[in-house]
Amino acid sequence: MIISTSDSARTERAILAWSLAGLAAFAVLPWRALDYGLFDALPSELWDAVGWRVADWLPWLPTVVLAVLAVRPWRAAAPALAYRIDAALGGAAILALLAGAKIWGVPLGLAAAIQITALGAIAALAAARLGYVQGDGFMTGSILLIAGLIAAFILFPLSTILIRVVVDFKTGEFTPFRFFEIVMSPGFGRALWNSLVLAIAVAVSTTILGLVFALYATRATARFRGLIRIFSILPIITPPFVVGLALILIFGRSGTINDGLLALFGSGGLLVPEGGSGWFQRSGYIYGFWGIFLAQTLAFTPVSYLVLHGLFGTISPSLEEASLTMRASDWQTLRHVTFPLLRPGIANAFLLSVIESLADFGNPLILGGDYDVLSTEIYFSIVGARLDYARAGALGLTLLAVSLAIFVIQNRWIGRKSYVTVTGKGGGGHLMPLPSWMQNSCGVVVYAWIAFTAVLYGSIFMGGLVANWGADYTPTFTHHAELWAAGLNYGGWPSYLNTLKLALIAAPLTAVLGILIAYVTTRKRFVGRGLVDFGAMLSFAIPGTVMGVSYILAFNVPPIQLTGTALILVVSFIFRNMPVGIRTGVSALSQIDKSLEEASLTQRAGSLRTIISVVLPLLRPAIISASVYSFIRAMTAFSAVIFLVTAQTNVATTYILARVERGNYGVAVAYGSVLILTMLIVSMLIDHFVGRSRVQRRVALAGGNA
Amino acid sequence: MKRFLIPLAASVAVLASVSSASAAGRLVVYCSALPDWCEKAVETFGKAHDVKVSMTPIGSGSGYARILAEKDNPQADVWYGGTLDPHSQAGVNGLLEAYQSPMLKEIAEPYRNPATSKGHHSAGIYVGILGFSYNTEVLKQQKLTAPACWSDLTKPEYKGLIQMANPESSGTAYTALATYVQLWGEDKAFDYLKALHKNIAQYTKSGSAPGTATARGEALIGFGFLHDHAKEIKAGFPMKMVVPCEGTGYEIGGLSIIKGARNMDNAKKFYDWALSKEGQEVAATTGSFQTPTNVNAKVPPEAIKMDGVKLINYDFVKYGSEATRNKLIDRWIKEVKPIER
Repeated sequence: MIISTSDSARTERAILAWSLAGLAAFAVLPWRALDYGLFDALPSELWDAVGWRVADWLPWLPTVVLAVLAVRPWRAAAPALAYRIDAALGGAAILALLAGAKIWGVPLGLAAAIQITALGAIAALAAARLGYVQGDGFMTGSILLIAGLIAAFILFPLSTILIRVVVDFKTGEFTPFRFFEIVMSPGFGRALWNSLVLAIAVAVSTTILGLVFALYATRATARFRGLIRIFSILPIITPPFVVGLALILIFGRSGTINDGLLALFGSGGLLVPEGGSGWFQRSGYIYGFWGIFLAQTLAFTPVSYLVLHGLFGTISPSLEEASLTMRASDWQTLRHVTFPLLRPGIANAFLLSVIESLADFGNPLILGGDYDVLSTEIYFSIVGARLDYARAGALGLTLLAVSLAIFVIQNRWIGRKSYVTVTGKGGGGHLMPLPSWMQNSCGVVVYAWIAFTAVLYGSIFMGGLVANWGADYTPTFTHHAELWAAGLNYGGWPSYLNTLKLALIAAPLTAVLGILIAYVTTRKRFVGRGLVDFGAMLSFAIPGTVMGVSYILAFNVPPIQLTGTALILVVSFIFRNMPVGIRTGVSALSQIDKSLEEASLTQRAGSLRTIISVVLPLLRPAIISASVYSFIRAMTAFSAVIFLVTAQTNVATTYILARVERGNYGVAVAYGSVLILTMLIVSMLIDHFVGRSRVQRRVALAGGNA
Repeated sequence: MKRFLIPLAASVAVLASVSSASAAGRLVVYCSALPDWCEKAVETFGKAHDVKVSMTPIGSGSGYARILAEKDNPQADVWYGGTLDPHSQAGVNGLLEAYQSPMLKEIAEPYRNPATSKGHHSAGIYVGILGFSYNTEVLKQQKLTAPACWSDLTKPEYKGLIQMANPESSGTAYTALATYVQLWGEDKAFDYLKALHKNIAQYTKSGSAPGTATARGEALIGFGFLHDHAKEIKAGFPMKMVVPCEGTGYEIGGLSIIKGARNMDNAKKFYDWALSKEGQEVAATTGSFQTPTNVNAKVPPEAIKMDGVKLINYDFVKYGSEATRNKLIDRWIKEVKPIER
């Protein structure tokens, strides 16, 4: 442990600055959380919430500690001892503050958050001086921040679900067998079984379709590649249940197909003899297994396409060429060389689709009919006639356990078995074209898909422009007028602008946090990495409904009281979409050689400096694409936010759902089409950008390999 | 010193952004009536009493769940509208403030203190009648006869043409379930539900969905509270309401003050207003056609006339209780739902 005097002086200045910031927050900012939210509070309420005016001793606890830290009476002691005192005092003050707030029921506000940050930063600075994370203050602070956030917003909420299941809410009794009672109760087994059957069926179909798409896009004619790209990203930018809504317009009881069949074969139909009663009656076949299956297949095929497409790019053509040179036929090559290389990718796409299908909530909600799955059962345990949080908790834990298990399989078993064949030796050669029969049959599937998607999206856009789809096809703008022409405070505007605002706030934070986690977990060795790894992994597997339930249970009472505010939505967006940032970060970082940072660090640039001037420029495309993807996911978020929105914080998806529930399909799809257009424009604009930056990344990759 | 400037700037921005808000206090309403009605009600009340009202539209089930979750730290002051059962449950579980409003004298007797606790935790603000409606055009197309009684609905000719909500998720459907049990006894009621099950096209998640589906011709017959259906008829859909001949159940719209409300005085003011003639007549102006409980309030012409209606003596105490509710719903899930149809 080498402690140089100039470094010590720098640390001491930073400690002083942080403690003064904490004291200033105490002096002027609301310390207690405001009952009606920060931005909706009256001046008198703000004034009464300022630290020194709160009639409670709790605000004084961190304030006194910060004041002591500003003075540092032990500064003359040996550095090792002094820094130990700083770190211990900072950490202890945070824990005491949280415990006190929990026990005495004091909701923590802005100033308290600043004070906790200040105490954490001081502890991190001191710990770094003591040699933690190779004496790196910035990295120590980041790790502490990440661990704190993961503990507060992933582990803590999930623990409240667990507690709700094993402790009776009303009596406070310990009920260890409640979970098993619920699991054995009627309906539970069926919902679990239905979920699994659906997930596997959907995963099979999306994997096959994804494979066909990937084969066609990489190996067949290049003519329609752009079209395939648009149609494969469409479902990603579509709010989850709008696809389901389009299916209702086409296949529903008064949908196009039923109307058509009725006109031909129904009572009094064209092909029915005069006076005959007809052979066809309206059918609700779309509501149930096949409806959800179709909607999820449409929604998740692009995911497996993207996974497989990425993998195709990593297969070196030289292996195929070798096979062909040795006189193997096209088909033999495809069968014995290409497919074995694809196997882990296929398994990967399959398991990802299973996880997505298990977590999907929107499509089963509107198309489910009698087909209950776990995600809808969780929702209806709370909003339905049962009002049973323990049941919701037990269902949620089951769903979480299943998707976590699948995620672990996917991550540990398959994720490691990579057959990447890109090496530093330039892989020249040409990709083998498909055998022609295969190319043709793939083509048929691809074009059928594109035609089908086009019809569905056409119905979304047209459905908003006719009076009443299924009954009255008079063109009209009334739906759009109701949404957009009544002024900014009415109709669709408040929820639209609110969604836009929250998604824009959350997106960069999501990207930065995710990439920071990726950086820390791939590049650094430190105590507590297990926790960060585990939290990150949970965030990948946690289904939205489970997250929504856990957030209302956890953040309704002090110390962190967020329900009813817009902040809880931003927080849920960040932690729900964090995997996007982590994934992007990990893959981008794996392409950047560590030696670049080491060079910077050896030249005595701090890690903050290294990150800013070496890592960040190389990661810029990753940050942009992670931000865009998080933005889109936040705009279309549904399964978690439905538990968290209020009238003031309504978002687009919940507004649309309310209209669907009232049978107002016209307005719902009109809104949906505007949302899709918004995101199509945004993602195309950014694609333009990132499309260019992707070249830069490839250059960087080449540099790293050389 | 950037770190000091940021909080400082933030606090200035905060102070500036809130300077516009000022009123004689606040009120937070959880509203389980239809959103249009909720908005109109809080707007009218807020203007009349100069109170800054914020309102959250929330289903009655979710409303109860949220109030229960917020027990230690109530976010809302008043819970307005929605079927009485969850209000009852909340009252029994000690989540509500007892309040005997001076306006209760204008309320028809059965609705003054209807909740299970019998402790003036909730009052009734409207009555909605359970029944079903049929789509007249679909009826003509299929050349079927119009149903008039609950028992008509088990006829094979209606197979696949009826929609009802799922009692697991919908309070409306639970009211129907409880109504049959009170009409015929539990075993006979389940025999009826099993026979009815054969004709059901789909059990919807929400209680109002069968009505909208019937209006749009997706179903011939839809169950529901008839005031919801009156709204569709008013909108021009070819639909006719039926009050079943055997007699039927009804719902009472609940009104409660939440225990530990932060704005207790305004909550009481709102409570009195919601029971008054003016308060109850707001509903019809937004197209909600329940029957008001204030004897002086005007009954909207679209609402069902109470004189011709055979109402059962609905036992809100027994059938609102959690034990009965869970028992009946569990039996339905076990005995009715799995039958093939």
